[in-house]
Formats: sequence, structure tokens, C-alpha cells
Amino acid sequence: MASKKIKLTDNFKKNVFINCPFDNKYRPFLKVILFTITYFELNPKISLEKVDSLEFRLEKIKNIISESKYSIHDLSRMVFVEKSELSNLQNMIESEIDEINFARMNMPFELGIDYGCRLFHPNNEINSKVTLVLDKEKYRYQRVLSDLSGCDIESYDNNPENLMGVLIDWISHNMDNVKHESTSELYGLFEDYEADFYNKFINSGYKDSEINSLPLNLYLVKLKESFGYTSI
Amino acid sequence: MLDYIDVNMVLDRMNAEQKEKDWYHISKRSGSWAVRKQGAKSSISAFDSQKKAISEVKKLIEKDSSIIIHREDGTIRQWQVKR
Repeated sequence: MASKKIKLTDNFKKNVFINCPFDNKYRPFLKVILFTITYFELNPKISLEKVDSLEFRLEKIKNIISESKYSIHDLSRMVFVEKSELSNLQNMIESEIDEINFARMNMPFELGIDYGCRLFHPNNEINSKVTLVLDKEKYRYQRVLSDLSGCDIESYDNNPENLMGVLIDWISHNMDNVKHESTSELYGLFEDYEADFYNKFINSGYKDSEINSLPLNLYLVKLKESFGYTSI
Repeated sequence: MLDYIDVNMVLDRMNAEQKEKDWYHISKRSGSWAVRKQGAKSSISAFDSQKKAISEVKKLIEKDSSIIIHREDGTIRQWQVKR
């Protein structure tokens, strides 16, 4: 049976689906991702972006995935416990158990949807999708997600500048004719941007804690404005 | 409405505003605590500890300059102005 041709969105080649935690502990790393993606004139897409409560979260994720050529999946917060560690677990109080974030299974689940989209989407152009998987250690995933063997997995040692370096390498490898600053210089630009952002909000009467928990949508709008992008 | 503009006064004010905008970042870069001026491509110096970096940068910078102290995750921990 001939497959039905489904037109991809005009922004398909610019969109980057970002599959990562949205908690405050991860936010510094998410900001690095948003800044780097935007610097390369790509359009970061996060599932928080749309606030329409009528649209189911999974439907939103499905739409973002099928609209994005690029995707970044950070599995570094996906925690599993070794058999030998189970006895320690019994001595932990509830808040400590929450702290290690067992329920970080959304990320591998959404990675699976992204992979499935590439395999089963009726438009062949979607085969050009490019995926970056990030994890704590380069080969840790093999113990829990062995189906990923052969995929490109990178680690960044929980260091924001290392994360930026991984992203720069990945983007410059997958896009043609990309010119960019070194990781060190671009990270400096990121620090400058963050300081400007912080200073503007402090001068507008915001408290330190409020700045760190501003909606990500607002952060993204301001970031695009600072790069002079209005329509992506 | 002003009858004239004192150019020197305007320039002095602009320079003063510029001086207020001298910001120095202290952040963990490649294993050390680096000091970098806002807008500069490279660091001025690097230290083993954040405490040492803060005390040394305070000796180097002019009055009214800002010191932006970052956490290891890159977020801003403190913003100090040298008085």
C-alpha cells in the first residue's frame, strides 16, 4: 500500500525537540541547551512551550516530535539502583528516596516515541531526523536501555561548559557550513547573557529566587529577542 | 529646556555609567575558578578556590565594579559591588 504523504512543517529543519527534566536542579543545564540551540539559529521546542491545558501532554509531545528534525534526550537524571544498594534504600527516609528521582522514566519513554516516529512516520523525509542522547556516563545506558546500543550517546559530567561543548560538536557535525565561536568563548557569551538577564530583572524589582523560577517560556522569548529572532 | 549642552558633562556621565558596567565573572572553568570581564573572550586569571578568586579580584578592580559569583552549575550565587 502506498504510504500517505504527510507534509512536514516549514520549520521542521530548524526545530529541536528537547526532552529533559524541567525541575529547578536541571534548569541551569536546560538554559545552556536553549542558549546554544538558539545561537545556532535553531528553534528549541519544549513540551512546556504550549500552555493550552485542553491539549493532552502526550499529544503535544507527539506533535513537537513530528515537527522537529533534531532532538536532544537527556537521560542523565534517569536513576536506577544496584541490587547491592537495596539494603541502603531500606534505611532511607521518604524525602531521600524522592531526591534520587526514581520516576524519571518520561525521558526514555519520549526517546522511544521519537525513535518510533522516525521508523513509522509516513513521510520519508522524517528519516533525516538527527538525535543526540545525553547520559551521566557514556556506557551506563547499556545496563538499562540496551536497545540503544549503537546510538550516539554523550556525557558531560554534570558540567555546564562540557554540555555546551557536546552540543556544539553535535550541531556542527550535523549542519552544513556552520561557523561558531570556541566552546570557551561561547560559554563566556552565555555567562554575559545570564548576567544581563539577571541584572535587568533585579533592577525591575524581582527577587533572586523569583528570577530563578521565571517561566521557561518567558526565558525563551527573551533569549530569542536578544538574538534578534522574532519569527522562529 | 536646556540652552546648551555641556559635552564634557555628558561624556563624564557616560564614562561613569560605563564604569558601573564593568562586571567580572568568577566561575568554575576547566577545573579552576576563573576571573573574566564581561564581554571578554578569555579569562584574566584563574585560582584554585572561589574564595581566593574573590579576594584577588577585589584587589584588581575599580570602585563600583561588580563581581558576579557563579555556582558550579553556572547559576549566579551572588552579585557584589565594590564600594
